[in-house]
Amino acid sequence: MTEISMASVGGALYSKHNVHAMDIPMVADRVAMFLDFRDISRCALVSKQWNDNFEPVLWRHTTWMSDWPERQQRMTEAAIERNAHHMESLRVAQTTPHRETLLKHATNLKQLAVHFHDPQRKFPTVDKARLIQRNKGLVRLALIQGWFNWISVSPASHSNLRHLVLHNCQIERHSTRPFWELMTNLESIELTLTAIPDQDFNPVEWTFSKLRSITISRLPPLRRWHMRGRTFCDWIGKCPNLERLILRLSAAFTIPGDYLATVVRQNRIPLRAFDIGSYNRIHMDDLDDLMDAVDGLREFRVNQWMLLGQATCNRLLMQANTLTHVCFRQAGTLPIGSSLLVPISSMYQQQILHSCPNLIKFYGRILLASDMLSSPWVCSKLRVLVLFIEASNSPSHPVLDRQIWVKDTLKRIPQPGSEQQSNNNYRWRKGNNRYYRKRCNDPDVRASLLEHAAVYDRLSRLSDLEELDLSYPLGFSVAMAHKKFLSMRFLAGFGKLGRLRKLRVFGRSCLYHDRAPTVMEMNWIVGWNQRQNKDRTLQETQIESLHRPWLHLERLRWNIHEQMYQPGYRFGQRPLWYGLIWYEAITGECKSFQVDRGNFHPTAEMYLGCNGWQMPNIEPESFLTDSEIDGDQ
Amino acid sequence: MPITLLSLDDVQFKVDKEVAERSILIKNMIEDVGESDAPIPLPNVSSSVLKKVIEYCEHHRNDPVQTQDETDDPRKRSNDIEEWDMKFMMVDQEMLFEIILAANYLDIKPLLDVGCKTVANIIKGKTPEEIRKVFNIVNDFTPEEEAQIKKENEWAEDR
Repeated sequence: MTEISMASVGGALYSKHNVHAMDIPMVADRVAMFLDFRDISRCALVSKQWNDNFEPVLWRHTTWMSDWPERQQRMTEAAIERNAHHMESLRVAQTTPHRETLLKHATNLKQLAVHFHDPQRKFPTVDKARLIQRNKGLVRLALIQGWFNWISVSPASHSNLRHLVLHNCQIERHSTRPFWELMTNLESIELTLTAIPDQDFNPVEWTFSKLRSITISRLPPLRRWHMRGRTFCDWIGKCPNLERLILRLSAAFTIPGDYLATVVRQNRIPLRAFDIGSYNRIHMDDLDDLMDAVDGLREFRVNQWMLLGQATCNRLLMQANTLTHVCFRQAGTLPIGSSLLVPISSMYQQQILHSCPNLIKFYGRILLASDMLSSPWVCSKLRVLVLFIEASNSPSHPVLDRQIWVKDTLKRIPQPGSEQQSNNNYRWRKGNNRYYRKRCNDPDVRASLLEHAAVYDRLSRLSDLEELDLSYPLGFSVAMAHKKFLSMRFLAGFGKLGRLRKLRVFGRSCLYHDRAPTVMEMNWIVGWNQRQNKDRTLQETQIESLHRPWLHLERLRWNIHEQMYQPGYRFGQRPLWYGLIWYEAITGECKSFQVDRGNFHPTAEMYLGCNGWQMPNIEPESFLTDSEIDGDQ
Repeated sequence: MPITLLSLDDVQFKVDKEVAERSILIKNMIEDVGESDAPIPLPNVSSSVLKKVIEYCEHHRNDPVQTQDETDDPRKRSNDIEEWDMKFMMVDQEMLFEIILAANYLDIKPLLDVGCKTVANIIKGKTPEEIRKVFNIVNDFTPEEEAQIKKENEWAEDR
């Protein structure tokens, strides 16, 4: 024993008296992991030894910096020439400054992303073939837009290449064979192809034994796709280690689900995650068949309108112990005796929440608060939660009540061009406010708010939560009058969610509070109404206290859902104006700020740099004056 | 079954197997050799440091084995140190680096991370001159070299 242990000590990393810990590159590397670029660059100036250790770290992943293009402008050619060989990851576009120097001297890249998009052909083309050939050690390669001749890349020349991303790329006729050959060496592929030679879509002569993940978002329209569906399944059959299959293909592409299930079963493909796209591309029964063929399912996603039956949900529940990701976005069911597709039932969803102990991400649809409270939650590991929580008797119940509410509301809308509309539309709005108030005094509404509060309390116990999206359907603005009540609960929860980074909520009241200190990304959906807009003094006094809590906020997106059924509503700009005054205070660190003008002007989006503050390009005349508003009321 | 560890200066430490196996090096050794009563010599670790390291392992004996995905991305890492670890790391600089070296040698990732975080926190926000002062490092750059590197790395400074 002594001999062996002594031998392993032979390659000791240090001896006590002549090496300082920081002089060991590995230790320096690890220390650098916890430093930002500025600190690392300062470390590189300490001594020659430190420079040797820290300079490579500084350059290794520079492209990860969020403001990389801006910083790259400030780099000198000489610095790049000297240090580009330290770089391990690089993103280049046609517009990248110092592109030629970077491409020439970066030869030890492990990750490379090249963006070819240059519609006006303003820039000289990147010699991507040479670039890729030069970097033999590439592990991950992403090509965005353009075509590439695959003959120059082969498993022999790039033996380390494991991950390939092709986005909006074409595959030339003469290079499909090398492309498939290359794929035999890959672990994951992500494809969005715009062209592939029709007759060459026939990868069955190879075996892709290393391939573990396939993501396909688009395939070009091949002739006789319906004939290709089976070829496609055969390809899956040639991937004996495939674990993830994500397909988001156009409606023209139909998967013969029964055949896919057979292929999976026969070849014992260890599929653990799948997302079979949209528009009923796979029949409900076939999906059940496929789920029977899979054991130990980890990820299950449904996108777009997709039918899910009770049988599918039961199969999901049988895999409850292994499930980590579930996405029901846009999933629907067809109730017995109905021809109307309705959103997947709250019952199915809450069963998942209540029985999957390992769930990490859950993208639900509409869940009734009473269902959520029906039994204790087991999903304590949740990191991402996206839900619409509805109280059972909520005035905005999307399926039942909301339809009536919308109908009711539509009745109040003055017809365009009518006298009523041209005079003012306040009468309508006033009536609407009265309607709100009436609903909020309703004991049913109160009860529903209480239910919400209980759900928030439970949410606040999910201590691993990093991303929370509780954006409600539009109709929920009825409850806004009770914003104080709701915000109290928000407040209680946020303080405990110490890992929360991304937040998307409906309603503005939560912004008043200083208990979301870790949130970096915020999507704030505002259901604005005139009455709230009036208490401007309140907003101004809050500005001081807003400074601190949002120190970490890096991205803010402000989504105004205005009263969508109101034609000719001219006050749309007012909240925007006041909002900007706020944001200057809120967003000290904020790097990105986006305003979506909700449903009213779907195309109007504004991007403002928050540090170099700019006013939006809106004519001041287009704002109504206060007197106009007050006089009208 | 307790395991005996033998430090550089021939001091023996008896620890539980579970505690000793926080060190991947020792764990692998035990796996390779099988269990035996013979003390495991650690000729790179002095008794004072080994004592500290064992203290750490004892406290963290029940922690789940770290399986977090190794990421180099600095943005995804947090600099937070647990309170106990913070107190544990309140030692003089020599000891701090000895612990890092020992953690590196014994392959105890969480301890290495805590040590490196502590060092990183010391470095944070300091100028090169201040860093030299703290760690007692001699500046062996010529003024020209220093100016050149400073100019070349200007892009990393915030504006």
